[in-house]
Amino acid sequence: MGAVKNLLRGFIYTAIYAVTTIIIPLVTFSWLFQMTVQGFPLDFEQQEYQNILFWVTAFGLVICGCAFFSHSSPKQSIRKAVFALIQVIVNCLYIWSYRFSGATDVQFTIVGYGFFSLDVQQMVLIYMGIYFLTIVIKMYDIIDFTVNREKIRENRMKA
Amino acid sequence: MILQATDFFQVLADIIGAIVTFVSPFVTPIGQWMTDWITIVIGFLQQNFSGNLTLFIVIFVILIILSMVINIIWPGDRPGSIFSKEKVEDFEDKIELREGKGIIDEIRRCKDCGNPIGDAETCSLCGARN
Repeated sequence: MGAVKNLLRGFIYTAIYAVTTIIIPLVTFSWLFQMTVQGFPLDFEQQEYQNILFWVTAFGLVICGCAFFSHSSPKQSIRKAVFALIQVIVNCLYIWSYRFSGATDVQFTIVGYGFFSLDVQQMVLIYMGIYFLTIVIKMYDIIDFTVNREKIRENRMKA
Repeated sequence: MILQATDFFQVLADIIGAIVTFVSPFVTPIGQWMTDWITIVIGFLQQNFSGNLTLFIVIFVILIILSMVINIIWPGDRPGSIFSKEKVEDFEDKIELREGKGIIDEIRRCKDCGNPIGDAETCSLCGARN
């Protein structure tokens, strides 16, 4: 029964991550490339549209796999902590892949009017700093779960 | 509608701006270091695995299957597994020991008459100080 419950939880979280890390970005980018402002089409100057889609999908898949592993593991287990850490690290790669693809410094041209650019690189830097703190917390979790392993398992068996 | 809410967005932007400005000196250098190593890793991935999703799909499938197998063997809500019978016995012993102690044994009693006294210092039955 426990295994079924764990797997169900894993599948639910995988679905959530699939939507947030793959489907929503893909739909957003597709919509962005077809957007028009007051009837004028946006000429997206980034030629690496395919590149963005590729890395979003690639890292999204790995994040979904790690999310399944992490969320289907028992609470306070070492394997949960390890895969949560891996997931955070892959998440960093995922976010930075947007920058690498040019998505953090995008220039839009509105035909007949000019252009505007969107530079969120500084925001991504701050986000990365916060992610570092998350990595530290996840590492602490691994140490905590390893040191108190016997105690955690005893409590889990009693429950 | 959005234009009417300009003031609200301005206040919101000011608040977010203040928070970002405050944390920026501490967090940005760490973020810079993070981006340095991430850039190297992504550079490596782009050089070697760009344009081929197969590897990532394989990783995804392996993680799912591995997780399912591990969960079936070690679901976490029952002690140990078919691979760790010794540990199962250890846990069962420990749980039995704890259960054997019982709540009655943990009640404080008077040293003289054995009457349960709880947290009281004086026995209500014989008046002895404990």
